[in-house]
Amino acid sequence: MPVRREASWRPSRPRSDRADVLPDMTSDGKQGGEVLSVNELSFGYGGNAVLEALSLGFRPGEFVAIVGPNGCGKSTLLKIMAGLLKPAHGSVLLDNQPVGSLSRKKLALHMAMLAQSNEAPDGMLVADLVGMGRYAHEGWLSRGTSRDRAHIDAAMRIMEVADLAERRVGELSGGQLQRCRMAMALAQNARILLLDEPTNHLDLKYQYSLLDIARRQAAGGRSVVAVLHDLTLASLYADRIILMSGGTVVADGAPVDVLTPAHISAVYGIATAAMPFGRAVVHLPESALE
Amino acid sequence: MKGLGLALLIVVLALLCGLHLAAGARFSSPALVFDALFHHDPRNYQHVVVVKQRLTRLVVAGYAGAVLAVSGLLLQKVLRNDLVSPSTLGINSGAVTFVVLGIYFLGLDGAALFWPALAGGIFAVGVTFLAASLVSQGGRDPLSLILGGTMTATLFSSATTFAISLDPDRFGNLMGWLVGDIGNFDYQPLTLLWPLGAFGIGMAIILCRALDLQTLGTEQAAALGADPQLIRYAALALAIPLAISAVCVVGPIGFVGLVAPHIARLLVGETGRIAMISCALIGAVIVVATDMLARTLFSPQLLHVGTVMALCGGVAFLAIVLTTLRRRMA
Repeated sequence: MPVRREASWRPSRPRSDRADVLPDMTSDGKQGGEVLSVNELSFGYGGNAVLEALSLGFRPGEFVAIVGPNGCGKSTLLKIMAGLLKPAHGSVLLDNQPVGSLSRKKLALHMAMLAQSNEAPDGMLVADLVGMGRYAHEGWLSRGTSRDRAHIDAAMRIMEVADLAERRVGELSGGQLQRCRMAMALAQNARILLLDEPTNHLDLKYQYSLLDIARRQAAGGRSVVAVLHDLTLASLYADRIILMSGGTVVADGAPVDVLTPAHISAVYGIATAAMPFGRAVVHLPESALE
Repeated sequence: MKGLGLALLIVVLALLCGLHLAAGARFSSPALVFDALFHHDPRNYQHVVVVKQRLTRLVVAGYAGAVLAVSGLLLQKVLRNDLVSPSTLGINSGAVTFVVLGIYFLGLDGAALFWPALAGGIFAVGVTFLAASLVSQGGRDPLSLILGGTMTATLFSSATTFAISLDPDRFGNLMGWLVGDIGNFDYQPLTLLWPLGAFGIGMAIILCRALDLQTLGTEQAAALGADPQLIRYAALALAIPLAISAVCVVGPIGFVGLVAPHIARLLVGETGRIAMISCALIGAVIVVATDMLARTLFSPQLLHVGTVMALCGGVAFLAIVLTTLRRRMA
């Protein structure tokens, strides 16, 4: 079977193209309403506050990037949203239900997350790895159903890893493994997709490709939240950017409104010149421009 | 591909079982073995040898191998460490010490010794984790757990020796069991313990999907819908009693639980139920083959299975440690 190769990373692709969005996702969220909300959330490790009284809402159809300097609490926020850490104060609500009140399996039906660490046993087959994404949908006996296979195949096609299916994890490059793990998260077919630094280990082409896929998943009705390091990439693909610093939100809104020289200087402590470029905002350090 | 490996294993095990029944101080013809099994004549000495000695040994060896292998695979997966097994974690040694103490202080015998053995296994795992956390140099170092296990095993072996030296005569008939041996009467505890083994292996096969998730890291496993804490306890709650049930029957046979998962990994990969089932079969193959060697190498002199296993398994253990080290250097 010939593998369909498409230049799916082209950033200028129209938003209406939903060909690669997975079919029949589990969705009962009302369009426009918030599926996931963070209310007055605080968290700390042993007395050190990491997050302070955060309140945020996430809607379906929206690709949100969370950016900020190292240690600003963005990964912690994502883990609390995924129910992996318990907040000290405040709550995370999924359809108005506290995330902590749902079982892991039930939560995984609604929310997929790509964790940062990319450990996987060397001997595992790629097809098995991607198949792990279906765990929450499996019953005691109903495993590997045609629906499971359809989701796995679709996810592998989207991430362009179909031809790696029979390879072992140990034979993959870091970038290939990362794309396979993203395919696993897509196979989970959840309406909320949390990505913790998803562009790690990827070269330029696949950084664009992955973020474009994330954006199209959002365009198809999912709620996609990604922690990103690269401001330009974030502005290029995200509908909305949350800029964090020291455990609080500094700015939240459209890329052009959030990524201003004033905000960058306040958060990162460097003076930059902002250059709008289409929908993207490129920041260059003043010190290097002189 | 996976199915082929499993089919191959079943064929190998079946052939080996036939060979095991035929081989011994005197080689029995296949026709005689068949007659002994299906047209048993209790007055025919050859028939009695095949059934009462070889068949019981075969069943005991197969059981011990299968449960130790499954226990080893469970431990390797849940601790994400290719070097752990019931013996390298000190479970076997702990069980032996507590059994000896149970005999000495409480006068227990037979299947009742399962309970002190279980307590000893759990206690030894606790000591191993404690020792490992003391020698660990931070991070997840696969060797620190093995070092802790070795220290624990040495400690418990000394305790066993000490307890035996208090009243050597009383433990005279225990000597074979202490090094790991299959005797002609070992089927007696097995008649009580086999349901535990069957249940444990069945649960391990059910649990192995969730365990596979665990190998992707705790956070990713949780995000995929597994409950890492629950899986960890469930795997330990299965692995330890499984190993103990083998120790109660044949004594502390080492290395099967370590080597079988590695062979399974080479043969059928490491994910899925087929890997778990194959691992059980490989464990059975290893112990049955070892038992056959122990009976025939210096025939009519019988060797202890534990001795033969320690010789072969020690070499395999060294090879596995070296490859692990080399992989970490690279």
